[in-house]
Amino acid sequence: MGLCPECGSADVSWFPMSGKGRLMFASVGPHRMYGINFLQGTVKLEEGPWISGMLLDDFFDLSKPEKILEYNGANIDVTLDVMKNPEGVEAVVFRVVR
Amino acid sequence: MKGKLSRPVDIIGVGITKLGIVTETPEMKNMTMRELWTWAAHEAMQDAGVIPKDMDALFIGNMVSELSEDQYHVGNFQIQWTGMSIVTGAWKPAVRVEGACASSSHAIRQAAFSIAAGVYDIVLAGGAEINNAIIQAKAPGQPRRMTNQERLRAIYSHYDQAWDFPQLSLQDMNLSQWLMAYMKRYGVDLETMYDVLDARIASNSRNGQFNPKAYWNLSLKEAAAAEGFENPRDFLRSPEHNPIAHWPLRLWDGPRRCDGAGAVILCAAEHSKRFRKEPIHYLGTGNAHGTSMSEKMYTHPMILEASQQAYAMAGIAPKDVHVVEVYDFIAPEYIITVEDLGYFGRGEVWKALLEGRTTFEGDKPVNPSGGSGAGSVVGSIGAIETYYLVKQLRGESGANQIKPLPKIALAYDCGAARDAVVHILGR
Repeated sequence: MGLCPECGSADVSWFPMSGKGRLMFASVGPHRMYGINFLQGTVKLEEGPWISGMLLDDFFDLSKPEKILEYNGANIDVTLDVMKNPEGVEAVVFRVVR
Repeated sequence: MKGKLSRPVDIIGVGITKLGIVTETPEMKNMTMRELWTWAAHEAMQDAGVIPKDMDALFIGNMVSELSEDQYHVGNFQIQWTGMSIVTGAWKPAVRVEGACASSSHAIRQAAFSIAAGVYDIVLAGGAEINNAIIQAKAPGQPRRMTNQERLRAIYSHYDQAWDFPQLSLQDMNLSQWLMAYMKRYGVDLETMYDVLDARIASNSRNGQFNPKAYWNLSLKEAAAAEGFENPRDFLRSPEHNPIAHWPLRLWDGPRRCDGAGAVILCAAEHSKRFRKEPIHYLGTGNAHGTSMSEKMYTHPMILEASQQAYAMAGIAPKDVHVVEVYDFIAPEYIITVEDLGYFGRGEVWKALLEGRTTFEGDKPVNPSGGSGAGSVVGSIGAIETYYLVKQLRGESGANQIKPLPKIALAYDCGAARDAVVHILGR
């Protein structure tokens, strides 16, 4: 467990995320190691921290990558989900709320 | 006093290898990291007029030796290859320093601090890296080219393996967000940004074609002509020759990854005149960490913090800097960094690129070496940048020498777009 960056306290604990966040920035491209094209989102969680990872959006057409410009700074609502990555490891992903 | 060097530090010698790939480039063919390091260190010693016995310690940067050579404990064997013995059977202090792509910059910082603290007088620092080949176990001299998967694993090892990598968070993708945030902030439309990206490639190519150490030094015109294009712009806009990588960034917006080493000899200023009439002064340095994310993306607190530390240590302002070398692994790092360093005003560099002001012939030179277009070596790039800038400050850069002779130079290195290191040099 990390330490509090304000006071250095080790009295910190895990707690469940609400699963809500805002998509601040997004990009589209290949993950060459896994041989997939995907969306990556930079998300501000409702609890404060920023994290970056795979973004799921059924409405995004990967053949029109320029559409990703509309996602940048758009403050789009996302929910967090957990799914297996291509190596079978469970990981956080974000899903666009429509 | 905190934030200052307790005694002044100079640079008395620099050396780098030819940049290239150890499985292909004739000058470095079949070399291990040991030979690359020895080459750079020997050149630096000749430059300074010192021999191994004159130097007190070694700080050597390296990022991926576990993956390229299955090798830990780099400091131990490199001090021996450098010939820095104390007595028969005992060798001088040495340690490997690792900070991803910024490893050699961290090594230079630690060397400067050790001199400023009064522990050592003359210290060798730098970096050596092979990141395109695997040195096969127990078969030195027989490297093989890394497979694409091995190369990706070596590069991706700088991510947080617990919290970035599993959720497919790639720094390259964040960097395209840096660029899109910049476009939105300053109202640069996509077509104009492609002109800007082309201009960065043209600027680096213009500079790099005169760099005798470069891995790549074809002019952009020659590179286009080799593929049958009369106009370099048509070449850069060709999806076949410059395909999209992470949209909107293309292949040529990324680096020419290669292998190589760079060495810097630092000396307490009170002793440096013994070796050089006009040593280059190591005026200031800064380092701050972050992630490849920030709230605005077109500006990054780690770059602001690292540069402010360095400016304060050096006692100068951004306007005093005459030339910068920035680690532009991918194009947005160039654009965002030179503005966060204060070398350009906010929202200005894209216009400066279009106006051709950033070549060695321009009024605001950036990467007179050619930057990552000339060759980008993770783990030793900071020492290589330092070499280029020392040569510029001395007026020894030959065909790409900046005129009039610059007085203050700034080197920027960054590990994994999240570990900013700044050095300020002067004469």
